[in-house]
Parts: sequence; structure tokens; C-alpha cells
Amino acid sequence: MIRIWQAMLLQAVASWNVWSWYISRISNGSDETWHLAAVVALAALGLRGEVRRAVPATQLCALAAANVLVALLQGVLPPSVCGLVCVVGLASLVSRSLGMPWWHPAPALLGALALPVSASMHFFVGHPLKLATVHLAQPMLAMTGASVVLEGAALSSGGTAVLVDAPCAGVDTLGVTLLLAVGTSLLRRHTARQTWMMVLLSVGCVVFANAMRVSSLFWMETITSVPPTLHELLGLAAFLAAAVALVFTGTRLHATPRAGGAP
Amino acid sequence: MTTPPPHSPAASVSIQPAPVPARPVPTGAWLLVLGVLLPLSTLAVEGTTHMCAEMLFDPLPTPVHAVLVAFVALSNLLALLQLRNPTPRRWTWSTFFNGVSIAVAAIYSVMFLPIMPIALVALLFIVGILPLSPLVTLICALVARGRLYQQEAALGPPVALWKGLVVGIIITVAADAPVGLTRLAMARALDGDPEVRAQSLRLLRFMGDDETMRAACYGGKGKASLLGLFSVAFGNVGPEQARRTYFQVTGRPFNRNFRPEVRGWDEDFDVDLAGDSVGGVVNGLFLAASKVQGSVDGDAALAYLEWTLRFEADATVRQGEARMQVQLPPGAVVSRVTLMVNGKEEEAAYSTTSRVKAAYQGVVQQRRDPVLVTWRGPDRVAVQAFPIDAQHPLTLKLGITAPLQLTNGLEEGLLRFPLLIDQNFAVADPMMDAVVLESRDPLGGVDSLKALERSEGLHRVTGTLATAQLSNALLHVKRDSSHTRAFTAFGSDDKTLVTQVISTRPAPPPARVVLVVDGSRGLAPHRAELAEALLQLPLDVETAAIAAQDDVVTILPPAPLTAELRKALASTVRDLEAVGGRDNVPALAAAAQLAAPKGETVVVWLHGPQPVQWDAIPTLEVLARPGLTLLDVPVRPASNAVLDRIGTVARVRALNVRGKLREDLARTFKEWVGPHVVVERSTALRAGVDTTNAVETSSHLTRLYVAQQVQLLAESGDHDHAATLAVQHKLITPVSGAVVLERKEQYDAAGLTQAEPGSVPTVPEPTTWAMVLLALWMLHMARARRVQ
Repeated sequence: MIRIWQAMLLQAVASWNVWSWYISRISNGSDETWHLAAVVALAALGLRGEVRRAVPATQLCALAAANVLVALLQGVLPPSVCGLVCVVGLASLVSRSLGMPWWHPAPALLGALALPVSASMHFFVGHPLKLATVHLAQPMLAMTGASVVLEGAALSSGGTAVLVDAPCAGVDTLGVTLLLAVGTSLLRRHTARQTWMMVLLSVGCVVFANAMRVSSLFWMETITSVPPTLHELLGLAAFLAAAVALVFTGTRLHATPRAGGAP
Repeated sequence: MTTPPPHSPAASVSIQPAPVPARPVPTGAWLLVLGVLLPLSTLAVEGTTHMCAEMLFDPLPTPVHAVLVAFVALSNLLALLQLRNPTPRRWTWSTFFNGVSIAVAAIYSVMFLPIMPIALVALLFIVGILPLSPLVTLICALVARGRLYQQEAALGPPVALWKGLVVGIIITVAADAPVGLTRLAMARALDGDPEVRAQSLRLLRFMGDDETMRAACYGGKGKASLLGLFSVAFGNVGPEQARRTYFQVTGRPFNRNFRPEVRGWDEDFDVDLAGDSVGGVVNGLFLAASKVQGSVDGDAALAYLEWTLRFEADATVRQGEARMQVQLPPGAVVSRVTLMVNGKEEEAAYSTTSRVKAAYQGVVQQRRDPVLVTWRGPDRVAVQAFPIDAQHPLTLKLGITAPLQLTNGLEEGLLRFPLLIDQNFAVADPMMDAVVLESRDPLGGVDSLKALERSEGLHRVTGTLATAQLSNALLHVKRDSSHTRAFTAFGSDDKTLVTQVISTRPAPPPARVVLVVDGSRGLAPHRAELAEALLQLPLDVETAAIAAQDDVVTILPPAPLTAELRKALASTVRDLEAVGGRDNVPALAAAAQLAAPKGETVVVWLHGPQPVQWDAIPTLEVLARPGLTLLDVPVRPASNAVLDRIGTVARVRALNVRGKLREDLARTFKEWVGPHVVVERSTALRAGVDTTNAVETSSHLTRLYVAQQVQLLAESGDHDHAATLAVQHKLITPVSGAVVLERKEQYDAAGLTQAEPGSVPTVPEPTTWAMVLLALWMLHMARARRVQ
């Protein structure tokens, strides 16, 4: 019989190359350091769980199969996929230690958020987010009376144009908001379905908040050239609005008592 | 009751409202502050300072909106009173009004969402609470609703929430309707389905908000409207699309009026800067002074005018661009352009239209001083000048060489003045505050111009011309009718002469006449006048007529014109439906298809303003066929975007305007079948020309000859040769333009050569010293006489 802490140790050792990749990504500035917050949260959860529990054979087999598959495809799979398998494996053990079903998405999402892949996310998710943002900002501005023309990812009206470029896409905001959503789900002991709902809600909130931010910047640009500090403050304010909406909804989802008690 | 197992996929997801704790009815101090005083304070602050309107958007575009905001506050007050002192008397109204106020506050909260981040940041300075007040008030109204329910047991069921919500939504949407529906319909007017487009245009004609439409034409900010939220679902309405729709709805160019006054918007931003169209009016930019000087040679039947225009701007304009279209006298050509730079008159450089445009746009981007003059159809040019602001007025000069229109048995020449037909600046009256024309022949015919004869048979007219007078002002020049030949040296080549021969003779009538009648509203006031003129159409000439309505409508299929047909045609034109602004392009294309297989066809286009660049204009290349002439007959001088595009490919002639439209048209119809004055200009070797009894005149005759040759070459497709000839003689033609730049390096960068001062025509002012000496001599003479 293998205990959770033993399985965690095995999983960590088996993924030694993931850790070296992880450390190099974080330390050489290739990626954002906010992912460490997810690592800390995952570790804190693991420490609070009952790690002396036995790991069910099915979970153990699934973990072993996943690791074998990764080992066989070493060199073929990109490091981020290997990393994902590793952290999801660890997260499933954390779930178990907390008395949750091992396939519960909250710890797994936390693990996924811990991966330093925002650069890739900017590449894959950035453009759809930008498009969603400008398509939502355009009617918002139209509602306030601005004749806004959508040109690709730019909004222009009269002498004012706001370009939603890559850094404005909201990918990092999405990552942090997902962290908040998952954290709320864990704290409020949401079911798997409720957790997925929170994830969807956080995507919606981020797009909406981003559109509000773009609209605000648009209006500010009609008054004056917006300094970087104000850009920052408006971004934070938009995030705050999204976060309040998310937490407000999350705390009102029906909490379910958990067998294991924690977290 | 069963509870789903924890973390089971089957566990239900439910969002429960926040539990309302059972507590005694509160005193409601916070409800009073946030639900009543806050919205009232916000209303007072916005009503007096217009803070939000100045900085962002106007949340109170109409008085109804202000009443709605006040209503929400008062409704919360009513709910508060009911909570503090429950009474059946107020129960129904307080719950109903609460529902209404929830709807109104919710709509306002949605409208303020786009600036919520600004409000949150501004909370650091307290003022952020103002834009957040709709949301705060909504929360207060919802909380009040929850507490009102606690009285249900004692006072019975409240008025259903949905009833209040419906009424609130209806009132708010109704207040928004004129603006919101206008924006929705403007978006729908661009739909791919013609039926949807037609419906939308009908709706806009019926109830379109003119200010909202014009705001869209200028780009930028208009009135706020919740319904505007949905307009983007039907597509982008940029300034270009909005201008087209505005014309289709009203039949007027959008720039007939200023940009609607919108608080806080960067009003001096000009989306048309360095563009091809005159575009929107720039508030604060105006023509401060305008002077015409010139000389008239009645015997050679030509004149040269120099029109000096001085533009100024008030402090609101930051580097404005003056753009205008100028209607030249019939047959005239612009032969000189200058710009005053640092007190010195700089001559223009002449080149192909594309090259001078590129040079101008490049210099505008650098925010330096250029002037651009390009051809925009028969007898019209576009002028652009930049930059103009309160500290930097701009003065430019146009030199215009014009032929006189001969009449009255060649005993009289007529000269029209150039006039503005489209401009993006304000014009003071009198439009021309100084007119000075000189001639060796007697001048007159314009009431406001004083004629006097000076020594040595020199005649002069001086005075002013108001805007209203300009379109009808016609200078009459008495001349010797026996002077039918004139000549001048062809440029610097003294061996070659340009000759002009004036004769009166009949011309063969056109094989077919095709009338195209615009169905736009701009034509409506002139229908009767046109109908009368059509009664002068020559009989027996094959004639067809079509009308540009929503579709192309055939009024008269091709047939030899009889008196009955002519009468019927005039009657149809008199009763023609003229609504909004119609696309004339399909009708013109249809007219080209009706051209006679043999002989000359004249397409007579009777139309109102045509400010829109219709998508189908390129199809009008069908007009560029041998034997087809398009006679452009605007019912009043106005811009014509269609001619801008086809004027260089088709043979287009402008109506010879002398006075009233009816008379000009009738005269033209008569000239088709009767004798008329023909002016022929050509070149010949001096040795072969008999100059006996011929008038030697100025080099302006050469310019008129070259302009005519360039026009013919361009129409035949030989654009390169035409451009070379035009540039060589420094003329603005269909293939060439002029640009004045500020520095030599800019000319070099654009590959242009500035004209030498002596190589372009001038009306020189006397040297200052000469005038001083003359004045001193006169003083001396006066003193000597007194002493005597």
C-alpha cells in the first residue's frame, strides 16, 4: 500500500526534468513569476491534507500510466505538456489528501496555473481574447454615444484610436482571475461542476473587465494622453470589478459539506 | 428532502440570493444618504457643472433623462418613508415606484459600466462616487425592495416587481428612442438586403434625429443611448458610411451644417485632413478676407483674375486645414497658385496630380505649410491649405485665366466670378470684400460694382460681392464685334503663334439626347423650372429620358421628339418624386447604354448636389465611349463626387451658366439646332498667319489653348502627353495639379520644381516707392496751386 506522501515524492522525482525546466523558465525571465503563487497555494493545500492516506490502486495506475507515457514520449512532447502531466498528477494526490475526489478540477487547475506558460498562452489565447474584448467594447462605447469603428483589434472614433495589442489582451489578468476562481472554489468547497462554472465565469468576467478597461482608456484618451500610471490604475480597477463579481458569485454558490473536512 | 452527495457530478448548481436577515425596520440613514441624497447630488453636480458630459459622455442628453434620475431618488425616498412608517396609503405606490426605479437605475448602471474603472480610480479623489451612483442607487433600491417585502404580511401583496420593471424600461427606452432608433436604422441602412436598406431609410426620413446622424458623419461623440448598444450588431458605421446615409435620407450634404455641439469632444479633430473630400466643417476656421483683382481683354474675349484668400482661425483650432471646391468661370483654367510664406509670395510647383498630392500629404504629415490645387471636374478645382491656427493665418492666391462668353452679336462678353461651392470653413459676408477689375473696354452689369472710366480709356469696376450675389453676378464687357481674331506668341517661341477665331455658325444637332433626371430632394424646388426649360427641347431629335429614383425609371424611351411627347416629358419631370438623396450612377450607366449607334449623343444630367462617392462609380467608365458627351447640369452650384471620378475618363462638359437655370438650358437646347458662337484656338507659324485686323493679346490666350489641348488629349487617353503639356505651361488640368511647399528641400524631396516668378501670370501691384513718389508729386502740385 502506497501512501499519498510517498506517491507525491515518487511523482516529484519522476518529473525531475520538469523541475529543471520550471526553474529555468521562472529564473531567466521567460515567464511571469505569478505562477509561483499557484505553486505556493498547491503546496499549502498539500501540507494541510491527510498525506498518510493510502492512494487507491486506480489512481496509482493512472498516475503510473501517465508517467510511463511521458517517459516514452520524452523528446517528442513539449516540456509544458510534461509539466502539465506532472502537476496534474501531484494535484490529484493533493485532492485525495483533502478528501476530495482525485479528479476534482480545482487542485488540477491550480497545478495547471502553476505552470510557467503565459508566453504560450499569449500566443494561443491572446488573439481570441483581444477580439472578444474589442467586440464587447465597441457596443459599450456605442452605448455611450461614441461612433466607434472596429478595425481589426483597434477601435477608432474621430481623433481617438485605442489599439488592443498583445500586452493588452488580458492573458495575465485571465490567469490571475482563474487563480482567484479556483481559490474561491477550494475555499467554498465547490463541487466539480461549480468549479467549472466558476472557471467559465472568470473567463467571462475577464473579457468584460477588459472591455471596460478598453472603454475607459478610450474615453480617457479623448481627454488627455493617458500616462502609464493611470493605465495601470485603470487595469487594476477593471480587475477589481471582475474580482468582486467573481467572489460575490462564488460565495453565493451553494457550498457542499466535504467528507474530509479540509480545507 | 434529499441532499446530493458531496462532489457528485449530479450535485445541483444553485445560486441563492443573499439571505435577508430578519431585523426590525431600519432607520435607513444609509438608504437616505446613498439612495436619495447621492443621486440627487449627482444630478445637481452634473446639471450645473456638466462634469461627466465635459469629460466623458452626456448622461443627461434630454430633460426626460434628468427627470428619470430625480424620479429614482424620490422613489427611494418614498420607499424609505414606507419603511419607517408603514402605511397602506403608500404601500401600492411605493412598491410600484420601487420597481420602476430599479429598472431605471439598472439601465443607468449598464450605461455607466464602460467607465466603471475610471470611477473606481476616481474614488481616490471622492468624485468617483458620482459615476458609481447609478449602481449604488440600484443596490439601495434592491435592498429597499427586500425590506418592503417584510411588510407584506401586514399590508398585503405588493405591486408585482415585473410591472414596475416593464414601465421603467418602457419610459427609459422611450426617452432614448429618437437617438437609439436613429443609430439602429443608420446601421441597418448599410445592410446587404436592399429591402432592409430601403426600410431603414424610410424610418430615418420619418423620425431620424438629424443631430445624431450628423454626429456620426463627423465621427466621434454623439448622444448616449442604451439602444446604441445594439447598433453595432448591424455593422460599423464610420463617417464615410454615415455621410452616405445622411445624404440618402436628407438629400443634403452633411457639411451644410456644423458638427453638432458635443461637450468635451476633441472638436477640432479633422478626419478629412489631407483627404480627397472637403469633409466636415471645422469650427473656428473662417475665410477672413477675399479679394479679386484682374484684367479683362474684351477684344480677345478673355480675362485673368487673381483671387486672394486669407484664412484665419480662432483659438479652438489647432492646425486646421482649409478645404474647398471652387467653381471657375466657364471654360476657365487655374494658371497660377501662390502662398504667402514669411511675408513672401511663393510660387507653386506643377506636376501630375498624383505627384503633387503625394507631396502635399507628405508635408501635411510633417505639419508644415503646403497648398494643393487639383482639378475636380469641368470648371472646378479643389484647394487645400494647411496649417491655419489663431497665430498663423494663411494667405493664398489663385490665378484664373477665363474666356469671356460672347453674346449679343459678339458685342458683349460675359464673365462669371469664381465661387465656392463646397468648403469646410465659415465665410463672412461680403464673400468678396474687394473686387478690382480693369479693362480697356467698358465694364458693368453688376450692381454692387462701381464702374468708372479712368484716363487713357482705361475702365475699372470696384466694389464688393456678397455670397448671395456671387452665383448670379455676371460682368458685362462691351467689345468691338468686328474683332473676331486674336493672336499671341506661343510661349517663348516667337515663330509660332496661338490664334483665336470667333465665328457664329450652326452645328449639326445631336443624333440622340438622353436626359437623366435626379430624383433627389435637392431637385425638388427646381422641377417646375426644369419642366419649362424642357419645353424648349428641339423637336424631331431622338430623345430619351430616365429618372434616378430608388431604381432606374424610364420616363421616355428613345423616340423622335414630338410636341406631345415633349409636353408629356415636361409634365412628368414637374411631378417627379424627389425624396432624400438618390444614387444617380445606375441611371447614368443606363443612359450610356441608350447612346445612339451612330452620331453624337448628349447625355444631359439634371441633378442636385451629389456629395457621395457611390460604390458603383467605376461602372461609369461606360460613359467613356466615342461620340458621347455628358452635359453636367447642376440645379445649383454644389460639389459633385461623381464627376470627381469620371471627369478624367469621360467627355464631360459643364452647362454654360450665365443666369437662370431655365434660360441657360433653353439657350443650350437652341444652340443644338441653331447658330451659336464658336471660338477656335490653334497654333500656326507666324509667317503663315495674317495678323491684319487681328488683336494681339496676352499669353493667357496660350493658356486657354493649352488647357483645351490637354483636355482633348486626356479624353483620348494620352495622359502622359497631356500631363507634359500641362506641366510645361503650369496649368491645373484633369492630369496636373499644383502644390506650394515651404522649403526648397521639400520640393527636392518630392521631385518637383517651383515655378519661377516671371513664368506665371501676375497682376502686379505698383511698386511702393513709385506710389510714394506719385503721392509726393501730387502734394507738391497741390501746394503749388495753392501758392498760385
